[in-house]
Amino acid sequence: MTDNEDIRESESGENDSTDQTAQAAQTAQAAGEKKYSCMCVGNCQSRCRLFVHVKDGKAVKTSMAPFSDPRYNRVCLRGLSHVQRIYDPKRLKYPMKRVGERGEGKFERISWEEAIDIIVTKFKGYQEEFGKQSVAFSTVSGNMALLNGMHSSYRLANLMHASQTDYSLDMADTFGLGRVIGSGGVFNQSNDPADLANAKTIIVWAANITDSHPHAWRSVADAQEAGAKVVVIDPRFTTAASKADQWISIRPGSDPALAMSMAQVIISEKLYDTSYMLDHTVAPFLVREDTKRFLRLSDITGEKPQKKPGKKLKDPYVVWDTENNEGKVLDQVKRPALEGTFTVSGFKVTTAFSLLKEQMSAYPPKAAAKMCDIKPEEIEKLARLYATNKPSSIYPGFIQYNNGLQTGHAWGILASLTGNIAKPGASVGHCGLSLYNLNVLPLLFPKGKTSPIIPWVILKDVLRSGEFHGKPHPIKAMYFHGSNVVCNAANQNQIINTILPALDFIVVTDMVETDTTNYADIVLPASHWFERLEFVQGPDQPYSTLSEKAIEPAFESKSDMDIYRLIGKGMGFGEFFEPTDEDFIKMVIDTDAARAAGLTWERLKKEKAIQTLPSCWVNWKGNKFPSPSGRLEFYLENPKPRLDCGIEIDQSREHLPHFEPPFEAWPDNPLAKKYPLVYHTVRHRWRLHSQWYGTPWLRELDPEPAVRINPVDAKARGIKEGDIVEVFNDRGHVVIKAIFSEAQRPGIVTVPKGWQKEQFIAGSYQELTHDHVNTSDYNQSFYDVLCQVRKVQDNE
Amino acid sequence: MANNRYVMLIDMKRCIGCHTCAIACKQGNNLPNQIWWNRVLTFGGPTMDTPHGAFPNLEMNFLTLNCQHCEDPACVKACPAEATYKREDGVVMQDYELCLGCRMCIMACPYSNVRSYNEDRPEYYLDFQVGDELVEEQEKGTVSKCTFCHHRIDEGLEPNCVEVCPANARFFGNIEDKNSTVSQLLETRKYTQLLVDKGTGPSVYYLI
Amino acid sequence: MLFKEWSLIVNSLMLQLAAGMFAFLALYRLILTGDMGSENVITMTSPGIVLTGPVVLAGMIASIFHLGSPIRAYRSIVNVGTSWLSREILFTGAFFAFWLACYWMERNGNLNPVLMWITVIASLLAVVSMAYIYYSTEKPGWFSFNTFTGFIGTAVIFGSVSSTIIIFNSIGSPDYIKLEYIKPDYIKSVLIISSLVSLLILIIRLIGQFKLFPTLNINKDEFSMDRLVAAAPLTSEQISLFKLLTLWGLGSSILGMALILLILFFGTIKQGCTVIIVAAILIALGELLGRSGFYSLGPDE
Repeated sequence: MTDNEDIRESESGENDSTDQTAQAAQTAQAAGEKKYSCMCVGNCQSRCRLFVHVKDGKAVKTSMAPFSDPRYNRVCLRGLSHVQRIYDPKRLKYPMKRVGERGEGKFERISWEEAIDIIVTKFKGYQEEFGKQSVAFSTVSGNMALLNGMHSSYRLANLMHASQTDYSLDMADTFGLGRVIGSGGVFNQSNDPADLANAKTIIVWAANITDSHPHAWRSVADAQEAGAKVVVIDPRFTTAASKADQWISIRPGSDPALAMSMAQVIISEKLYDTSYMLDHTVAPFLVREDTKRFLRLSDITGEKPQKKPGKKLKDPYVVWDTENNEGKVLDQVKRPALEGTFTVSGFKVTTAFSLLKEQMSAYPPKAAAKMCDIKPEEIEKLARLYATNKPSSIYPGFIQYNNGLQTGHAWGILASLTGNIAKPGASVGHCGLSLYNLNVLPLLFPKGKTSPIIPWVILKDVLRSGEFHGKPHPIKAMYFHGSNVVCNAANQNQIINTILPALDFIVVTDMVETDTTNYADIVLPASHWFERLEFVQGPDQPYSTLSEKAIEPAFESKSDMDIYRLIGKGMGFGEFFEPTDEDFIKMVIDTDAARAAGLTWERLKKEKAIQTLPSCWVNWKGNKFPSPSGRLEFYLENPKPRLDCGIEIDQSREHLPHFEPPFEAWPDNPLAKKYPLVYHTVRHRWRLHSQWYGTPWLRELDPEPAVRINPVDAKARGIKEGDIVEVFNDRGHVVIKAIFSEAQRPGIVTVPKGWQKEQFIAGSYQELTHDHVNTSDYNQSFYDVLCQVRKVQDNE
Repeated sequence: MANNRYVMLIDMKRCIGCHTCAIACKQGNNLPNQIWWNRVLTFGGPTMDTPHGAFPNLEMNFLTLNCQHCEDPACVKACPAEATYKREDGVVMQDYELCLGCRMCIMACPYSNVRSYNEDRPEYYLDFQVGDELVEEQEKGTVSKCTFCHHRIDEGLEPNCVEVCPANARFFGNIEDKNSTVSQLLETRKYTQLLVDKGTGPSVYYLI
Repeated sequence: MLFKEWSLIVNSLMLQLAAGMFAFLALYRLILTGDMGSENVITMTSPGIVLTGPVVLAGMIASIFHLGSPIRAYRSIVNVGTSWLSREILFTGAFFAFWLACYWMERNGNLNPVLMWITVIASLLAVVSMAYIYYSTEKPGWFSFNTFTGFIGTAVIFGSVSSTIIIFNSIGSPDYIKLEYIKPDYIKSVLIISSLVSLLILIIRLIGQFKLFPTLNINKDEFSMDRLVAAAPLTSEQISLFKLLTLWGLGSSILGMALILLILFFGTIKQGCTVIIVAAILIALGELLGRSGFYSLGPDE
């Protein structure tokens, strides 16, 4: 990057990364200051390696720590503010017991012994009286490290046979695409974001990439410098849009229409990659007209395939052999038919590609452009660019509408048609690989998977009916860890007024006071990431890393794992929590695959960061996909919901995507008359979800929340810049300052995400969002919201 | 090297206005509350992160602004106490122990708010010094400003703001060395400088 | 905010008062001696000459309050080579030092005219340096010709008015009137000339300010990088406050000066002695308002 790179290298004497790291740690010890190698483990997926500079037992600085490949050296404004987060004015210091009403924020200091005793007594009591499931653990993404993140929670919950809530966040599109790939509703979809530098076309789709993933943006900028075309699809004029070669401002929630119309253009203009489709997708598979399933050998022979022990059920797919004009088993056919309807052994079948072609024909650019409120030519141009200026990557944001699933599915179709996946520069989806080559399951499920999982979005129904999966399922107590659910989950008033009051007992662990700790009966102070030992791996960089314990836990705080150790011991699972953090890490990395990648405890301890994947690695290498067929299944023969909650879905609507308008935020919705504006709660660089909400340095730069509104919409409501306004709908309101911004597409207002209730003049940004349940993906559609804005007070 | 002349380059095509440089500066130099030596200005609309123009014909850029370490600095001329001075390598420094707090430098500087005045005793959120150990403590009644992290560059390190840039948009080096990254970039890229007509010869270049 | 820079306001007005008064008195000693007899002129001008030093000193002391680190004030003359502030302080110091010598000689009754003129030159250099301090900044409203008409002008006006008061008081005093050989008409014409010059300066200022006003509104919407980073443009509140203070100040000064001229042309010395105090208050107020307006533009906001 600069001249000093040479200096850094020459200091280390040789280019051996290991030595460089060790040496860096040593030179740090000069001048009474000690440097520790730590990992920033927020839910941004960048996983920056930081040096924590410690003096007199206090962290005095965080700085960027190098990786062996300097391309991965990274840090951001939040990573450089940890010193203030560690010593945050809102830091929780001691265990506390509620003395006021829930939500009042009145607590009394208690000892750890008393806190654990209360929790254990309560948990045991509920489990005895109402069953094991009556205690529920709820953990989300507050910590993405191995031990103290979700895994510690899983460990205790599964030992206790307690319930767990599923995150139910904003990953509908992840699931939509994951169904095609076969990876399901989890991350680990894309190539290494650094590989974006190898793309010739990059579509940044609804991602505020410069704020949320600045290090991924770095690679986009590299690609652009090398001549790649960058297209940003976003209703809002984001920073990325300002840098892009082309910015397409679509109507909010019209993403699936755009993606499917691109597919339609690619199909009708024959820009697809036939051989890729024949070899790596289900395109040539024959779909039975009657069952909508793929035709298999057993359909023809009538013999049920026998499952051999230890092996996958094998029932070969049948395709149409164009040489002999007959249906034959896939691996016996040289040239399968891509298109056509045939009759095989009496079954009327059509190729998956033909079905796709037919389905997409409903979305020609003219029709789709109307839905997206753009010009048809823009769609054509984009489709041609993506299909021909290859390799192309789609860098997605989270499609937080009720139709996010269709968008993700359609991205899978685009990749299937063009082969823009599993190659350098060709990628689609969220996040790279994390926790690979490891032995994680014994950490999560020491005595097996016993914990029933309830999606957060239907928790309200479970609490109301006392039933889940059609069976009694009372829940009395909840333990929240790594999640500020009152602030970050949709429909805040329902959480506060319906969900939390239905619980007899609430425990919240956190580092700082939050909207959620305010509603706890017991609050436990968690230590900061640098106050404990951790193991971190991926996803958006190729390293396996040890995060050292740089400082002692501040005040009386404890690591989450240590808190689970105490509760676990109280609950009678002491033996499972005897291993130290180091023991757990050693257990998890003790695999042949890890060793083959160079990951051993000895090296980890010495080097702190070991590159265990190649730089710019490619996901799904060799086009090996985890789907049942091993191919990209753009046609889903047996679409299932993300989670089995005993609720059936209409499969016929999910074999292939179709355009379904957003649940709420769509002009045809009659509600739009009353609430004509779309309401977006956007993610900024100033916080990570709600973390860093009170960090003083960041608050100096970003002191208060404000709603951004296009001057056209503001003037129509008599609002002047700086006025105090109320943004509201039937679910709630937020009173907030108004800022004019032409970046806002008229008809949309945005409020930044993650501010706590007390930081607003009144209400909260999260009161307006809804928790409509989509029984296919069980996610929350944070952007699928309508609102109105009115002036409350003039700007003096 | 005998003749070093340090310059800073900021690639406006790459800069995303993320403020990481500002925070790195704030932390590294242990800047008092409300003092920012390196600020990020939105080159667009009137408020941070707003564009110029009317939807959808918009343009937006970011411009980070710190002391421009001019070759012929107006501040050095104006300072009655020689508290602000230029080093041989071009770094314009401020000696808190010599500064009178007359603010002539602030008034003489063509750039807005690159110098900060500690009207009162500097305040901090934490009760211990953070950032780089070698940073001098700021004093009441004195002016402070970007030093190109002199304490780091003297040890062969980059200034804090340059090291951390997530977008790789900041470069620092010796312009006298024709092989340095900065010289190479100035040779190959189009650039501009701020308020050149003031004749102070800024050492910060903006690649455009 | 209005009097945030009170120390600079006091400092500048005091220096200009001292410089103007001393220069005028020196001038009167030179041109009046022949007609009035040196004894009388010395008696008449001596109080003003004695007063000059304390006024300079008061201004210098006030200026220290502007400094963030006043203990280091002694360092302010280190950079005479390029800093107008250093130069101003050097010349002000010289002014004071020469004045001390003048004062010593005056007490002994042998004030050397050459030394007196050296003192005048030092004082003028101090005033001009002070004007240059502001003229060489980036502040809209400061790097303007008006800064010179303002600072040098105040010295002339204050010098004219203070010397007029002194002479009036001397002439008005009972023992003076007994003196048969004074030529009041001659003195009167000298005073009229100095007052007319002062009025002319005020009019030049007025014109200058009207020329300056429109340039203060820098187009903040101009879309250029230079505009974005240039010294912050003045806010509309700042501009209107500046205009208000400037115009009221000029009005007050012009009124005061007109009053003096009125007396000089039509009044008697007896009337003059009271009216001129009113006029002097108007002018002092006017200059104070004008200077407050000047400093309301900066340096910090």
